[in-house]
Amino acid sequence: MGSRQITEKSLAMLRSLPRISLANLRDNPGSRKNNKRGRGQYGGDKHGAGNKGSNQRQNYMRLGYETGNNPFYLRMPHESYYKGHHHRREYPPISLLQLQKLIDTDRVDIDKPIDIASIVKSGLYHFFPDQKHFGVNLTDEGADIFAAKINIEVQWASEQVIAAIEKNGGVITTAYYDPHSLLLLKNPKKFFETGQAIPRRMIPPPDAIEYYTSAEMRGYLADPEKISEDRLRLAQKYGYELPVLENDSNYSMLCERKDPRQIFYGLEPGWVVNLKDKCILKPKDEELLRFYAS
Amino acid sequence: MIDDTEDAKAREAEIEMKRNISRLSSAHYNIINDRKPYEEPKSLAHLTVKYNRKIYGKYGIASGVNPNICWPTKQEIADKKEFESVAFPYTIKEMMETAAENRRQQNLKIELREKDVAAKFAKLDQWKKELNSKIAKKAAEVQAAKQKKERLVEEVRRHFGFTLDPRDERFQEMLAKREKEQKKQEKLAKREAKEKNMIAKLQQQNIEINEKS
Amino acid sequence: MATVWRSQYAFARFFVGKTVRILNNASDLGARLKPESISIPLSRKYSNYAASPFVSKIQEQYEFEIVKNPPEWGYVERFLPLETVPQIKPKESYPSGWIAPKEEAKNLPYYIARNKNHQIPIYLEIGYRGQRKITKIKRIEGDIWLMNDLIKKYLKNKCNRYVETRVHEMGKFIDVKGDYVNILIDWAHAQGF
Repeated sequence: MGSRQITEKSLAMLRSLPRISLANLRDNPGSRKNNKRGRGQYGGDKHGAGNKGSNQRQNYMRLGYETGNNPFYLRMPHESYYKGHHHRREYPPISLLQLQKLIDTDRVDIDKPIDIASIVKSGLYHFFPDQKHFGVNLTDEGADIFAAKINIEVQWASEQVIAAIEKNGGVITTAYYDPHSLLLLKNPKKFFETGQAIPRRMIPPPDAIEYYTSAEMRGYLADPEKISEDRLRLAQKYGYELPVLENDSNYSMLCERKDPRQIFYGLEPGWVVNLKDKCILKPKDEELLRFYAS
Repeated sequence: MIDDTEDAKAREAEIEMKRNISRLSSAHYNIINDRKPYEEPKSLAHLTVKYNRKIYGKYGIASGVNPNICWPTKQEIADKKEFESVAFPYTIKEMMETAAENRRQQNLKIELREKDVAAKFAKLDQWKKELNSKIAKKAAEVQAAKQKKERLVEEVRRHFGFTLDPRDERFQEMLAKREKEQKKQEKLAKREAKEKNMIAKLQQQNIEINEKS
Repeated sequence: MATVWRSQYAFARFFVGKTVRILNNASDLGARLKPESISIPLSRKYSNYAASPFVSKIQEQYEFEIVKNPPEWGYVERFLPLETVPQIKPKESYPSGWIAPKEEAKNLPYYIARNKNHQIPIYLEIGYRGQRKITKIKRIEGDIWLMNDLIKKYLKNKCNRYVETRVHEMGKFIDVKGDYVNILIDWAHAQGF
């Protein structure tokens, strides 16, 4: 058929048509719809309110009202099982398969430690700290095909995930960030443009402290010796050879961890980062230093 | 030759102004050209710390803002410390200890309950047996009483020749007679049994004496 | 200096409970304001300029050092957002199942270009409450009619049924009636797109 002829034709057209100007541009038909004005035959008369009844008289029944009988939204009394659900923390998930896809398509740099800021930087993961989201939950979908050596820091992980990452010679840590720190991590550029000093990260609440101090979950407050013991235990449980990290070329990168009061890698609390001038202001005042080091 | 006189400068400024045909406000024009929007503060908001921090963050030192304001004041630091002492009253060690303590308490409770249940379980078979025997005994008793009653009725009927109601007077009289007779018999039987025992004993004693001598 | 009252409630915290007080920098000394109009307390939930103090009130002078081109700048650049989706460097294997486009595919008379995220542009469009499923193959260059014939033949052999398609030459897409997304993606990978 004529795909060649069509290109020839269109090129010929292009050569002969006049140059584009405001005079010969027009919107695509159907892209703009005129607003209905309340005058004349179509917009006027009853003004879209129909005939008589509560609708035309703008006397609508409230949402959910069922003309007198017990409405659906009032039929169910309180159920005890969802008590306090709005106080519970949420961790929006990302699976190991998705993480592998990000790594394969170079959207996440594995030569540097991965934390929630780098995952959000890829543009394919979103979370909202103001909706009680407290970080990343790494799920085990894709644990069997995961093959990347990474130093990753998440907020929640299960045993299979930890095993899958350590099997490939990587390091996983679970760390707690309070909502203010998460807002900073979500959009670091916006934070630096407000010109504030980097704040300290807060300690976890009492009901989360057990998770983040346990070696089984690789908590950031746990004892490193217990963590290495647990690495061995997991290797035995899931049947893989525990890779020796010290012999790795990337050992220093893999060991890089954040201080419990630190929000960003490499940047201490109290510093003011200016993106325009490409400079960092570090305070020298004693009281400030004491406050930010506490 | 560079004409540096004031007239030339004024003319240059005028030309620059005329070059700007964007019809943007001066603030927006400055923002587009990466300068801070307002040179002079036009609103109370422009005098606040928050606004000036933002201007410093976006435009750097060129904005002319003193970076001192980026850090919190002493009062703010004190306030923050107070807030944190109230919002996060426990240190990590304390929290760990309380959590461990809670865990221990829970486990202890579970253990005690399990022990309790295990102890009771061991006795379960015995209890079952006891219960069954109790029930059987009761049933047996009831059965025995019923049978006895029936027997009596039979006997009385045989004696009288017709079924007599147990509650009748004659029945009661019969029963009473019967009981007396039975008692007499029992007494006789007992006496005989006793005599037999005595005789047996004496005989035994005689045998022993004979053996000794 | 002109004073601009943004809203009635701006800076109201200065005179909540203090009805007789000289106001901050207000040239009319609050003549326009009445205490009743500021009875509504300032909402502390949202951060606004009114809750922030004036710069002139700050007396603290901190010592600080400005470090130009600091060695930690690498850490800062790490989390600045990228302008575009990065190009993919070739690797030995892609465990997630991503298949790179092959050079030989450019010799074919037709071509399916990858999209911005380096994926094959074959999508499923579902309409009418799930009753209509259309597989859309977008970004087709070259001889689209030839490709259409090939696809129809391939699907006829694979699925033992006639498959209806719609070719849009100007829009550079083909609509296939039915859900053949995975089959067509495998076909495209086999071709090398």
